[in-house]
Amino acid sequence: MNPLLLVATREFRQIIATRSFWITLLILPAALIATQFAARFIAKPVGSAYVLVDESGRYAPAIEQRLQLIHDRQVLTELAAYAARWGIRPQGAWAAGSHGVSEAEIAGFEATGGVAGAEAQIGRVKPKDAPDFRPSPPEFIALPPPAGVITDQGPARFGATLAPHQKGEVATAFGSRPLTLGVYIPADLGGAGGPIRMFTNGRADAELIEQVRGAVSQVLRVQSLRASGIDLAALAKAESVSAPISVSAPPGGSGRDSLALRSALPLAIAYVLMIAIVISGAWLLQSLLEERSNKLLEAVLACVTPEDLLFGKLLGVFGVTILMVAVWTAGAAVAAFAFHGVIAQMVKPALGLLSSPWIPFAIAYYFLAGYLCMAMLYLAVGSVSENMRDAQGYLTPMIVGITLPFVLVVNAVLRNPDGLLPRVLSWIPFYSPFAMLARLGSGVSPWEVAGSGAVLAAFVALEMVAIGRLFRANLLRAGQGMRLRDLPRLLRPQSA
Amino acid sequence: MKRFGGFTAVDDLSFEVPEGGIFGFLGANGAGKTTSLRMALDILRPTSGAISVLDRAPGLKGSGEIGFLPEERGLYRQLTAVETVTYFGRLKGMALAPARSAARALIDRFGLTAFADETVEKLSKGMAQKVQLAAALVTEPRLLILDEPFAGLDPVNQAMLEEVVLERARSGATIVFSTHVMQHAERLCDRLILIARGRKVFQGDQAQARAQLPTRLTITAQKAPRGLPGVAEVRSLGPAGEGWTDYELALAPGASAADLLQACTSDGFPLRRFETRQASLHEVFLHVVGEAEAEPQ
Repeated sequence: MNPLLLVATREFRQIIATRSFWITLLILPAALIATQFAARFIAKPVGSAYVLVDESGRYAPAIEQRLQLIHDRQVLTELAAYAARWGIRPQGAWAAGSHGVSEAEIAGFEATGGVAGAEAQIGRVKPKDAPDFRPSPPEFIALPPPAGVITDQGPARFGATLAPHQKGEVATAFGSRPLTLGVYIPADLGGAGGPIRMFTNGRADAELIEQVRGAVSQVLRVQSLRASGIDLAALAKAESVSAPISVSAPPGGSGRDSLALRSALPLAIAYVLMIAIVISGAWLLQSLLEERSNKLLEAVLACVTPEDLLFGKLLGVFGVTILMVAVWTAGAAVAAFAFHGVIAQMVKPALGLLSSPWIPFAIAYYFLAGYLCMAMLYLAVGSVSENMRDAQGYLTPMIVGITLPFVLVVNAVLRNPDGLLPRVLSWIPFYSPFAMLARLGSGVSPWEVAGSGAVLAAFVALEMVAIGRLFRANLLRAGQGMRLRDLPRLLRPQSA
Repeated sequence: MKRFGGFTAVDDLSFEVPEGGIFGFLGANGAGKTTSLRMALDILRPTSGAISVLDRAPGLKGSGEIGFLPEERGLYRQLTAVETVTYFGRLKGMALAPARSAARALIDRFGLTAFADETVEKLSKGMAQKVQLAAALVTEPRLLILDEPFAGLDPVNQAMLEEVVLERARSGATIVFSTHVMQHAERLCDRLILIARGRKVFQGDQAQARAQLPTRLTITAQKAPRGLPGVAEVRSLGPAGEGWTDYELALAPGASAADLLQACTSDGFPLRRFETRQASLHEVFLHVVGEAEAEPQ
């Protein structure tokens, strides 16, 4: 076997035999799976229940209608997001995307079957791998007075008998919820009956209180207007007027949501690339310093060239990194597809990017070249350090040097993938892997990928030559710190 | 020649090691021994000059024919003893099965059978040193280069190493070892080279080395042996009783003790004792290297 491969194999075996490797390897999938479990079993449902006693019966319909309107508006927004995510072009009030929905539109939505009608329409046109649409439960759930709650002896008695039920959760049609509010509206509201009495559990939703107040106020206003002799039919007509709105979505999935969706995979790979570099960089350093620390450098150099030793170590650590990324990917896939959670909904449409024949190659290339480009920095530090203590001094600036381009590039790309800054950064080697990965989802041209890739390849080749020479020159300089002014001489060939 | 920046570590050093036998590479600390050996192994490249090892330029081609035990010795702590020796065998071009088989044989030979599959970090220092030696020998090299091989070894392991060196030499291998401990060189070396400040100050066999110092004798005579042929120095050691006195003599370069004894006999110079004492390698080293070190640079 080639000495380089022998070195790589030994490095690979040595790293995967360490406990820290297994902890690193398993921590991310474990966290993903735990998150999904937590989301499923631990997360508390939102929303709360309320009990309404309306002695006159004049206000309850208005309150219920108002709260139903809030829920319908929420469902329509969710339907619009669902349609955009899965590329469904529906007919109806939720077709125009997520924007402010008027009461008239909501009425129209209800008239065409509401959620059930929308689900029937979705069922006919949705992609096979798209999950069923599941509307969120209402945020405020009306409950009849629980058994034992006295509603016909005034508000004080109502509040007192309701209080025990407000200590825990109560059963609703959507599962258990806290009973946060009891509302008692006397028959002679504002007169002898006094004000609306509200009994909270101490954590009542301010919006619910505000909606109740608003609905009752509206009824009272109408009563007042009627008493003033105003034509109620004209008033109702005037109230139904809504400003016409036409919302135009960007064509061909170029909207921000679609861009984020298509960029999810390459961006995730850019993240993984950065994490992989930082984690495996520590292994590279330890590996590179091992022979020197253990005083076996000479014995090894009598058997292999410095270049075989250097790049064998790089290959071995890269192999470990690929194994780690593969396990993470598998873990993420299991978490996503087994739990059908939010991740699954993100991952499935994001994979659509891979349908372009050259994109998978571009992603693989930029991952590999980006890894090599950054890993060379660790090799350079390892080459000029005698031990980990020496190397620690270089690590902080180096990690900042690696993460800064990443943060800068990803932010710039997400703001405007075709802006000047992302396009310029795509040609600068330390930035280009992240920039190109981040931009792949926005439709970057193949020639730009090829050109930037060629520049990156040339740079990595130069790095390999330079660091090979640096490593050779510094191999046996025990106790002799490297000075910056020595660098040009050390980078010359045959300087050992 | 080898320079490190402005420092000349090896200067105008030329020598040839005959095939077979044990060749001592002797010099004080910092004399340039390790640098010279590193150049022979292509770990370092000479600043100028040419090197030929086993009839070719230094390099990894045919590295299996060369075994090397460096002065600084370490091992991969997570590998077992057998894995370590096998790994070095494979790095030198052996296939896996022969390398593993040779490793097992050497581990057995050095009495480490019970520890063959223990990781190096669990071995004692002495055991680890044996594993290092096994790694150097795994390919049964034609040329074995040992840099300060006895440094750090206890007397038992020193004896074991001497035995291995002699055994390899008897089987036809060439051994080159560097040391500054002359007792080892005296016991093992057929030929040797002495270097000081990176320069060769002597090359030859042990007899030639000893001839660098005048032959010394101790005699017991009735009068001072001044004027006898070949005597360069006379020092009285004190009375030996009954009118006899002990003297220490140093002969002039080229003079022999046998000639002096013959002169004493033919001249009727009475003697009760006539003992010759050859210079030790240690004395030669101090004399030759000391002079070279004393020279202004």
